[in-house]
Amino acid sequence: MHIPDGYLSPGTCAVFYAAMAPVWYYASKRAERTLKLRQLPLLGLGAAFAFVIMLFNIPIPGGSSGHMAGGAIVAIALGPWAAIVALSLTLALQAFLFGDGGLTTLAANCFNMAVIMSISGYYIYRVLAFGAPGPGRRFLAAAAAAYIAVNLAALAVAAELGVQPGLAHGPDGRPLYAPYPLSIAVPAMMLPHLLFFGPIEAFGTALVVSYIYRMNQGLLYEGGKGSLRPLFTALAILIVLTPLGLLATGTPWGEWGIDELRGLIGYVPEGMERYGGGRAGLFPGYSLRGVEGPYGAAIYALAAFLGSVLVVAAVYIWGRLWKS
Amino acid sequence: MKLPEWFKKKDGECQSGRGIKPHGFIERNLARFASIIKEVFTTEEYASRGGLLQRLDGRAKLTGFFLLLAAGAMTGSALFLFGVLVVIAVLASVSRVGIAPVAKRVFPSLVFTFFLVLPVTVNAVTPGKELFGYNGFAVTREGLLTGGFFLLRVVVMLSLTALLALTTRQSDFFKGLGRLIPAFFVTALFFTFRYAVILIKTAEDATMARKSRSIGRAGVTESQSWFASRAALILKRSFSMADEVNMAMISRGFAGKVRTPPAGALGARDYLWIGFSSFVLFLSIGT
Amino acid sequence: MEEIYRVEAVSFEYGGGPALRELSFSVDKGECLAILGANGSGKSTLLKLLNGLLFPTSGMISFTGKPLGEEALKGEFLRCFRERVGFVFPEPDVQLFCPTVSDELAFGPLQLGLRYEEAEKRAGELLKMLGLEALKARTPYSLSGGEKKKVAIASVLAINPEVLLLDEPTNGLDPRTQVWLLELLRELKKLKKTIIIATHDLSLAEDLSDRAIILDESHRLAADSTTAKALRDKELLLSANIIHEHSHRHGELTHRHSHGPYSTHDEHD
Repeated sequence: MHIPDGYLSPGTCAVFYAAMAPVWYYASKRAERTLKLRQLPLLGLGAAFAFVIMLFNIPIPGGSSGHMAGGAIVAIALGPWAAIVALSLTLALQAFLFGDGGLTTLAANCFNMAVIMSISGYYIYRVLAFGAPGPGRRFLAAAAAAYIAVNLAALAVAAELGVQPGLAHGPDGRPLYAPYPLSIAVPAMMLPHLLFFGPIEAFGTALVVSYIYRMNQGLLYEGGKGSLRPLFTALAILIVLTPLGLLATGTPWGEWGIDELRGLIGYVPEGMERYGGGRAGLFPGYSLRGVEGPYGAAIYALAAFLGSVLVVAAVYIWGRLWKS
Repeated sequence: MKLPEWFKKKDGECQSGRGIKPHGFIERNLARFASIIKEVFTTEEYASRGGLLQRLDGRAKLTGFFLLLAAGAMTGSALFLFGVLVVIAVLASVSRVGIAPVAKRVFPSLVFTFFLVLPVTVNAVTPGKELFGYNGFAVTREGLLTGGFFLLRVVVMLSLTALLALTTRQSDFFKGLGRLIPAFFVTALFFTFRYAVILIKTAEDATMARKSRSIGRAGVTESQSWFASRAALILKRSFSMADEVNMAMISRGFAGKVRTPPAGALGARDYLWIGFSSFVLFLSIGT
Repeated sequence: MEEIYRVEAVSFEYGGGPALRELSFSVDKGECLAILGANGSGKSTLLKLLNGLLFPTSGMISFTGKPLGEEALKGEFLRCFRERVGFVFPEPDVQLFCPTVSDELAFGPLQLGLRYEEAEKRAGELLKMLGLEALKARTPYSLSGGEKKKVAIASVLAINPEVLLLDEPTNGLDPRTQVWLLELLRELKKLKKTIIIATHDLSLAEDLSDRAIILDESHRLAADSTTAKALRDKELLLSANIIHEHSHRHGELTHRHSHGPYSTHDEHD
């Protein structure tokens, strides 16, 4: 489920980085508050745990085995906010040192696997395992939470990949990044997750959670009493908004362009719109394609050279200021 | 101490069942753990060679690679991407890493992407000028261009991150990153790395212990409950370790904010590197 | 003699049950004290209490006359306390959390507000003194067990504490590193540092400490005397489960006698 570098347009990556920065900041503050001073090593070790869990092969009936994404387990063990930070750390480590998932796509991967999986996995589990559940209900709650969470994450990945052809294409209309539209990306991503990875995630999560519960329930995160309230508020808002959303969905699933996206979520993130044209460059207005003639390329290279000299000068001055 | 009777069996006599294959998922797990640990150490070996990229300051190197990645992400020109690929090859050889280790790291994702783009070349997905095919199915020129270009971009981006990982010692990497993003996250990231290595050892030991005891193919249910108990063990160990590490930090004066040594000044080499990579980035904008 | 620690009727409970019951003793400056006890007798917990990492459930610990409570351990007193007391954890892995060995040595001094130049100077001198210069740029996970322990001890010494708490320092060390450690501790003892060692290695206690306190399996203080006297009291050591009786052969002679886990034999019966 890790999106590698090159699959998403720079605009999409920038949007996700912009969206994740406040989430990371807020989650780290929240985690700090709930975990007290213990937070730093606990987050690191929670992330290390997630890393190892993702390495494990889990045997499934039929002699096969598969890997988990682990988001739901970590969220149930650490609480949703700490899990967001811990899973983001895991993903960062995988991207930087082991080449699993890209660096430019890191924020998008964190959104899918750290945010969507932790929040949905944790709250679904909490809602289904309310009160004092027996072992059977606890097992099912963890399984359902993990199954839904991993499929939501997969759906997010599919949506991110599927909008790429619409967002960024060359002058001749060729897709420049992930080439499949939503109508292909969504089924291609969802079928294996609904049928294969979803059950693995569900089974693995349920096994670990109920095992931990039997042996040492002190290990599982117990949120404060009021901690479900924000969830219900959010659900209420969603219920109110759903009819509106349905009204807005005039096009069949899988054929959203940027206009449908506008209709569906009410607005298009600014960055997406800016890069939504035929070009994928970060500064479309700045593009020097107007420069033509035999010297065009040379002039262009010179401009780029001057630009990089400016960058070096800026870094140099910044470095001097930083030191003093 | 009195040993039970069945301990006194004759040497060289095996009573357990025969002809049973070793247990598949255990082997796979062991192979995976071993390969991760091996990767950490081989990477460190390449990163300690005294090549061009290894001598750069961590901050400058990370910044430069981010600029190159941005360039690779933004360009719409295949020629430009080929150019970057050549630059990567040159950098890999002057950094005494060579192309083979980079290729080895890129290979798995490359294969995945290759199979992923295959369908895009056929007319059902990308209509256009049909080159060859039969029975209504055909490979189109546009499809090949789309797929080929996508594959090329992915190769460039993957090679860049591979080269970064192969030429950066882990300590330099974390130090460099610590100057670029908040220290809280970098310290936590370092902990993740440091303790993932230890927890993998725990997982490996647990798996080895199981391997040494298992003879036949255990049932799925039994294997699954084994997995659950090991995962719980690792979680428990990570919690108790987190506690101890925290105490060890507090004991040495940690009070909520990590103080790190000040950064040294960047050298001429580092400025040249940043200049070069921003030049590439600016070039990518117009191509 | 200046009093460093005074422990008064201290009890401590984890969630499960008592870890320490009603301990009272005091430690003077320059003393070398061994805390002996079987696994799970509460030695580690006692050291953590002495390091202000845990706080007693009941009773009081004072450090140089000031109470060591959650409330009092703040600000200037906390900084000063952390600078004066160093703690070597039993498992070096939990103590090595910096990217390189030299960062590890500089960590403590930097957190306590020392200037970087000074921290670096200390790190350099310690590495030289301990013969670890070759490890300077290495990452902690690439060290061997013995090297890890040396670096962990050096990282605590870099703070230059007056009081050194060591939890099972010889665990898992090869004989040569054990000798190295013993020599180092002897040197520190000569400098009038206060050293408190929790261990079940009776030979270490015998070689180094002047005084021993023994925790029994009911988590109480079973004895507080000179080390020589405590180690002669076989009944006491047996009841605290620090040694056990067994029989084995030496050449042609079969005999019964008592044994500690690491120590060589005591005199034969």
